Amino acid sequence: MKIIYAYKKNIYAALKAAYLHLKLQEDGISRSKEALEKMHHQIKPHYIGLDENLNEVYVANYGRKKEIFNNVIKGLGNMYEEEVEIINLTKEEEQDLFQ
Amino acid sequence: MKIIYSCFGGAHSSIVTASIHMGYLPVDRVATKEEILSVPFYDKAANSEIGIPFHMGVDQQCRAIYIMGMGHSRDFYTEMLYAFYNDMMYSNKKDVIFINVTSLLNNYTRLGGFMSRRLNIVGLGRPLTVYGIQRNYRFFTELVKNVEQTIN
Repeated sequence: MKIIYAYKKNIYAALKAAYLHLKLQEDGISRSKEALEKMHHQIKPHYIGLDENLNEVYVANYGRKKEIFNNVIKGLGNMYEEEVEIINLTKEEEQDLFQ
Repeated sequence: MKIIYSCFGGAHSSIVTASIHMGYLPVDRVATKEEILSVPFYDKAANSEIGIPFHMGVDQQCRAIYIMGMGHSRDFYTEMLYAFYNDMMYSNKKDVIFINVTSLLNNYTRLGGFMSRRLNIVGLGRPLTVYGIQRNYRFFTELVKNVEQTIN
């Protein structure tokens, strides 16, 4: 299964959530604004790692509408029989995880 | 291979293009109002269904034809989908193509679609979408011919 942490603005928060999921040290996340912005502007799901249940963990920007993002990604997953779980970070979660 | 026709709401232009591709609608003449209205999924998609791919059938070359609405950010979601697809498919055999048909729309269909799908004034909006589709029908058929020539 693929697990995608989807965010709107704060990629750092999504990366932190993915790192927590993978039980990785969050020191590994770049604090460089340029590096994070570069990553944010790349339109693709960023692969972060594999969890203990062999699920692939990603972070991705959900764009303007998270409902459309969820539908298109899950729809494509269904087409190719790939199980996809999307965890949409709320605005508050993005702020909390940024601390 | 999978061909996915995409437009704004997945209710009109992508449905008509996919239907021409599937042979539900004629290529050599403008489809009648009745023909257009009898196409599956025409003017049916709800707002919450934007982004969900709907299977329209399998064409003569065994390609699966889908339609999908992508809202305002078609370029963003198309790029995201190609990236996700490339990530999913480990082999080099890539077999999906997204075709954006929004540029074929005219203001009659836009207005009719807005009235029918957003404002729920179906009685007025739906015939207006059909009128708009009929006015630009030759562009839809040309696109389908072009797609078939390009992919073959």
